[in-house]
Amino acid sequence: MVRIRQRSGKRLITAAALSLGLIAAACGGSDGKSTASVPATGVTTAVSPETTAASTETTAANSAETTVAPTTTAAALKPVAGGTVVMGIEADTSSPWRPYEMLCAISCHQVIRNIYDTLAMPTADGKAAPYLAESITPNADATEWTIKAHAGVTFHDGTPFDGAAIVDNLTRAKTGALTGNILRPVDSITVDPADPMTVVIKMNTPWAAFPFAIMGQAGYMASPAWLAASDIDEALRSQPVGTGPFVYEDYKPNEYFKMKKNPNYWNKPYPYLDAVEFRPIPDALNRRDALKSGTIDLLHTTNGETIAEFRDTKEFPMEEITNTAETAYTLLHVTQDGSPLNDVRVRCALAWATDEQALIDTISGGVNQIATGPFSPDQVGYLADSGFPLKQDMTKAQDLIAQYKAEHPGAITLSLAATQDETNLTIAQFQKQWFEEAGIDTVTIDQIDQGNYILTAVLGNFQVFQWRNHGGIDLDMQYHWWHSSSSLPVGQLGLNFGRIKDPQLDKLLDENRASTDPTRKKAIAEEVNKLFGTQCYNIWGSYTIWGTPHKPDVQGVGNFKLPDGSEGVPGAGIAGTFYMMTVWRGGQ
Amino acid sequence: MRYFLNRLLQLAIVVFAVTFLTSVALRFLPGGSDVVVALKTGPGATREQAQAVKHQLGLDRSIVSQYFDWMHKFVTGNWGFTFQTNQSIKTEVVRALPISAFIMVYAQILSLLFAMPVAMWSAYRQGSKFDRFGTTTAFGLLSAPNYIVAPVLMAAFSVQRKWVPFPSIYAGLGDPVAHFKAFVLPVVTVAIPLYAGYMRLLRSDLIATLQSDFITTARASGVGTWSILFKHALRPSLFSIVTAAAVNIGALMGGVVIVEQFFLLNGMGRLTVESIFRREYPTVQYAVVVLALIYVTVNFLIDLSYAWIDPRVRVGRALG
Amino acid sequence: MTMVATDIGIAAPIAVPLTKAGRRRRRGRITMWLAIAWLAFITISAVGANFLPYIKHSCSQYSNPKQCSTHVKGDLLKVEKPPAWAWFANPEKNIGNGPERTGWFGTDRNGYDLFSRSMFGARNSLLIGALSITFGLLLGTVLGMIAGYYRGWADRVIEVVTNILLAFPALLLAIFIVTFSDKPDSTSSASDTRSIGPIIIALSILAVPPLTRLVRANTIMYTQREFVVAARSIGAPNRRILLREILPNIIPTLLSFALTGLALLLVAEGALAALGLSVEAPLPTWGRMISSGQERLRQGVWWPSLMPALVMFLTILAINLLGDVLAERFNTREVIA
Repeated sequence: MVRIRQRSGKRLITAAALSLGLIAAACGGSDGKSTASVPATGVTTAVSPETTAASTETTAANSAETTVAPTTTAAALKPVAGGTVVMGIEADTSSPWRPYEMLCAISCHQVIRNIYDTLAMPTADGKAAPYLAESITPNADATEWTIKAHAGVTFHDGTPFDGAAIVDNLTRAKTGALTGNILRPVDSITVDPADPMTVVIKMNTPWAAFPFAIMGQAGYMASPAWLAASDIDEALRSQPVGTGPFVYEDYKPNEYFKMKKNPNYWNKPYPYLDAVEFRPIPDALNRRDALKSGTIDLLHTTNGETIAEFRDTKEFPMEEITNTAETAYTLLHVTQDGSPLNDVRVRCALAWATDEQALIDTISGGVNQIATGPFSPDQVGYLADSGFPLKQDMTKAQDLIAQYKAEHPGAITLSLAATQDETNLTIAQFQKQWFEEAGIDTVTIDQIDQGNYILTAVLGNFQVFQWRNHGGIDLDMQYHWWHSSSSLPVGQLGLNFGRIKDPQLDKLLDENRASTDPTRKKAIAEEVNKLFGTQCYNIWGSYTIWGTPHKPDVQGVGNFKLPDGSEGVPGAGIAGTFYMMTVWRGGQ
Repeated sequence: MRYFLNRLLQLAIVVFAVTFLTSVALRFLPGGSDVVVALKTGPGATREQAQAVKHQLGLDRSIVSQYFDWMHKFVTGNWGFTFQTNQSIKTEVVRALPISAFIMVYAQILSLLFAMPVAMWSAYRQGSKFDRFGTTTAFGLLSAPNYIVAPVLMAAFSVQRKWVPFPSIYAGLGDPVAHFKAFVLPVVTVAIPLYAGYMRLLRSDLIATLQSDFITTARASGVGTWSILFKHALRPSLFSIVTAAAVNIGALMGGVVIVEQFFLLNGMGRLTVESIFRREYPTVQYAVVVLALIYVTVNFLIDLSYAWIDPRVRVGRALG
Repeated sequence: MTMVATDIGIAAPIAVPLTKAGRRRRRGRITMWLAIAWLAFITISAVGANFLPYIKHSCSQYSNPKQCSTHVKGDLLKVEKPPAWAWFANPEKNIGNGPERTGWFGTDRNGYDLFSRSMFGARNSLLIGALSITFGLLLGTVLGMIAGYYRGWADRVIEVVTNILLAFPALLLAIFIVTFSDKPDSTSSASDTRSIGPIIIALSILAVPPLTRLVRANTIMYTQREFVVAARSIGAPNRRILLREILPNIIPTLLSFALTGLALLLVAEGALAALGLSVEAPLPTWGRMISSGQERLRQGVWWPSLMPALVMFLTILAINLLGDVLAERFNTREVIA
């Protein structure tokens, strides 16, 4: 199965993901309990590995997307304009919709990328292609990049899209708390004096992977006129103005986000639909039932049992998005004072004690694939065997703990942080059993409310933590999660949640950042993967699958073409999202 | 008049205390204002950025000065915007109020409509099969929590039969059909435990009344069953149920969180709870003050009406 | 959440008429004995849950933590199975090599035996219910009697306080109380885990205002009665009048209220659990079990929520049947006195 996926895996990879996973985690669940939402481990699912493989194969033959059934028919039909779609989304991440301030989970990107276009986009073969930008070109050592704006594009409010607009957006992104981290190597952003449509960006270090950084949140282009106006009038901040295929119409937090067609969209023939409405329905089962009751036309979910269920029903066709999947895993705080987790033996003992397949089977209907490392099969650096324990081996786990205890007498206690979500709690209760059996004397489960959950991670106030992250294309996207420069002391807002301080890892990440050689980069990513495998910094869980069941007359989910006609990647590579502009109604 | 002023003063004290306690309690939720920063800026904010956000939101000042600042804003009507979503808080609260009010009113009517006849007949035929069945079902309904009832109703009426859209799509009175569809399931869910409570309450009151001397006299003088129940027994037995229904007005306005969350209706309960989890301090405070005002006003009106209806108001106040 | 707010709100007036209720037809003795038998069974199993012939997945803070090591060799119970008697229920997926149906109540997703969890849950739930109602009663009686007997400024102050508590949305109050006890971080372990303490406090505080009102109303009523007026006129000290004359007369009302209140609090705890505000996993309470089974119920897996719901229903019913019987007895006595 793995291999099959890899073959077809060229298709995609994503980008920008820096922001994503994490924030996903942050915001995804804030609407109360959402099974599927973020920090959940292994909430995703599949009927059985064989089914997955089969369906992947179909897809691979087909297009960039994994489609269970109707792809062939869909391909034969010609899209028609008109109609509306109501989509149920996982959460209302409801940010101020200004690109540099957004805390954007998957569902938020799913909404807002219909309003904002990104400067760059990933192609089906895993490269970065310009999208809203005409061209993106580096100098020889990738310390200076030139972005040329697409001519003739205007924002929804009539403001022309030009070099100044790019500068305004990127400059704001540089100051944003989160986007600032993505653009940390950026030194200066200026309009080329010779051409008002061209922007020159100077880096303080060679940054070959820069285009990947502007595929996502940092690359969203908002109208400078609107940005300036919203600086003064706070109410405007939730009424985004971009260049995208749809125009903001109305937004009510926790209720809906409505948008209508942008008839002047520059990338013809998109969009097809007259209007799109997004309804946040946090609970995965509620979303399922909303589709069944006919209230919504389309939904996305990572809930394994729901995916398994829709695989079996003919009534609602479903696409599955597996590319650049995020990994659900258990984070360990590895440099806490006096914590047993500072010892690699204890960490690996926990990994040996974990029966991930049992979790996948019981909790997510067996849908997901066991993760061997942070990278899913189509990401660079994926290894079928990274040295990480994949099969439960209690004796080994007990041995390791016994060794540790021989050197450090006294009881070992651990605290597992979990949200109040039932699935998370079920996982935590399994882990508690396993860890205690492995020899940890007391394991307690600490239920934390959603709001506080993210803070606990960011401040490093935890020992064991369920999380989901690390989608994306280039290893460079993971720089901030793992590099010791973001491993701030406990109590400060650090992106390196587990507070990993590993010189070897730092060296690899730094080398990768400057490197332009694909083979070397691949080798580095694999080495990082192995390093995680042997050090057991995290307990890997499973790769996320997104299912998009919909009514039969909803077509075109995931099929995306770039302006030059080449195959794009659904959702522009942010795991689990796709463009509504390719969707159309009719033609059963 | 003096009584009136007294009540008014009390009302003011209650509202002040409730809002001040809320304001203080919010700041002591686990994580404190750091959570606000983390939710507002996201991870990766530098200390300076975090500090700037705190300052911008006024969270770096003392709790007391934050409270009076909030009070000032409340009184002047300039409620400001939510921290994370940049929505006008006033709009949010104004949007939530009618939803809660609809649920409250319909649920009260529905539960009373069923509770009254059942209670009357149960009381009249105390100990009969009907009475036992009624009492037992009441306990059954009391112990069937709304988080079980709601999904069952939804599965039956939205998924099995696609009669009602799920989740509810809010519609005002302008569109009666959509309005009915939006509220029918949540209202039934809320009304079920209410029915059980009202039924029990009215039944035991009626039993007491039916045993009193004037009923015996009426019976002896040959007054018919219906006449006894409706003309003689019902009115004197209504006192506690009216009191209870009045108390519930306040409770239902802000207390139906689970049902609102399940059917995705953005009422006051959902607004308050989600704002707490998102640490939207001002939103919580505005919601709480509105709810407190509703509670004290209703209480106040009831007290006044007792005084007006019944000269023996002291007893009434004692009970209420 | 209606439950917390609403039902406690209702409860206060409920009890008043019971005192006046006078002689009711006696309920069948069989029903009464059934109720007693059920309560005895629940109490004994709750107390003796540690000795149940089931695996002690459900360890609570009272059992030896070592016994809680729950992993079953061979994955026997690693997945939810319907109850042994439920011939009509199909286990959706048969993972692990255990029997298709198992236990009286079946097992949940963690493979925990639901019967033993229900019994450990009885211990926690009944403790929560009983202790909160007791604390609520103690505080409510003291405040209510002071307010009703002395009147004047004490009455005013107490009225304002109860009004504050009632005007405060009940749920918020519960959230504040329960989360205050939480640690800001998750690095320490063992003793920090949220247990039943804060929940008891939260529920007691919710129970105090209606109880205070109830006691106050009754106190006012009795203060005007002849025997109290007589006692006052012969110069009996206030404390004596309160304790010897008034309190004994209020007790029946309180007792019958306490039983209804206990039932209401059991349900209210479930509402807290549904919002993630009850005890922390894996401690079981009925409310937590029912609310966490809700999700499974919607997948067609009915036993994780319905079995504990049944136990809770029967217990509430039994308590109230018994409460009615007790109320009758006490009423008779009052009439005689």
